[in-house]
Amino acid sequence: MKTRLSCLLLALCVSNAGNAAELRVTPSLCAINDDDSRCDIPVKVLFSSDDPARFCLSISGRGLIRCFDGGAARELQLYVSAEEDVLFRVTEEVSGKDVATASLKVARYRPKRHRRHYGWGLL
Amino acid sequence: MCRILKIITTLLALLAHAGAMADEISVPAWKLAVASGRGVLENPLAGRGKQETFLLPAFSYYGERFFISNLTAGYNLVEEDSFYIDLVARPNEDGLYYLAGDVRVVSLTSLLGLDPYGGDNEPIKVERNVSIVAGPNATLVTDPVDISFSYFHDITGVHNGSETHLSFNKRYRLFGGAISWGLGVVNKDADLVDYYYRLRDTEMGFNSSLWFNQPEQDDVTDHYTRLSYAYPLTKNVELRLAAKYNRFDMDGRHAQLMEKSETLSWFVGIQYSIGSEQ
Repeated sequence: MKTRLSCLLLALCVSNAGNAAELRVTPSLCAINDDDSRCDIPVKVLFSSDDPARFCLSISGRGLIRCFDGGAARELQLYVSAEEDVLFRVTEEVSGKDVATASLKVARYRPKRHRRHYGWGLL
Repeated sequence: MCRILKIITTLLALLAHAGAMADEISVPAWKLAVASGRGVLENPLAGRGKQETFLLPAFSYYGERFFISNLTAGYNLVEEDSFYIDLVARPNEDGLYYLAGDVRVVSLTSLLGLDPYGGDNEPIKVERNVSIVAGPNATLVTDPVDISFSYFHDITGVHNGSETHLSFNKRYRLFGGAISWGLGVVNKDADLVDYYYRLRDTEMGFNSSLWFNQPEQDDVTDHYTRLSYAYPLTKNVELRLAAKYNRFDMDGRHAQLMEKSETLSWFVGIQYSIGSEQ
């Protein structure tokens, strides 16, 4: 049973390794002050795949950025200006199938204060 | 009053088993609330009974540094996880007691016509102004209790006195709501006490009983216990109960001006609130 399970896991690993595709966005978090309207930040997008097919990088809801050949690591420098989270996605150019996704989170920083205990005085 | 103290002590013991709340607010935030119900504000001054109230408004605003909490305005100098230091300004509570109108002091001897100096039979009218006191407050925040120490001085030139506060406060979750309590000791200096609680020579006139009861100029140390509970009914509506028990030091106060050494004020109602503060 143990041997069978190991074989199954190995098979999954090999199968995954064949189509391994990775998309990374650095930094993945943009922290802005509460009174700032948007996050303006340069990001590095790194895509790697063993598959030599053509892929396209796009931003969800905004459109295509660029298409490129797979089989080697690709690195792109982008300047992002966004009010909310940005989802990057890589699809196969021919089939349009999703290959990998990564997101840049936009976090609003709101400083915290302890609640004061000053009451009405009379009550 | 002993029974009330027992109830409060029992409630505080119950709270030892409840969980303290992370009592923090993301700023900027504000809240405007009006509670409708029934309450009684007891005034310790002579001739003042219990004033009934059916509305209790509340307002708070917390900015990056500046804040308002009901009648208190403050500026935050230091804010850390375990302590904070504010500069605070607020109306002095003794002045607020005079807000409901002039206080009329009645002397028993003059009322019965027994004053050997033939004093006036009419009750005397005592008027005092509200002062604004301001100063630093430092609070140490811990899981079981927040400990605050404040020193406030009159900045309005009404009495040029000062008051020093030491208080213990905390808010806990309890039965799906939030309960908060406070225990405090307030020392008021002789200048403040002299202005609010001793009679002027002109007020006493030839009334021997008033002269006889005039205390030596001295400071006082008062105590209070505060308890409130809020239970959310909807997002903007909550059940609200609040009570405050005061015990006053009568030594520096004129007995015919300050009638009660203990007061209990309370309010029970439904509160509706709007704003960004949660």
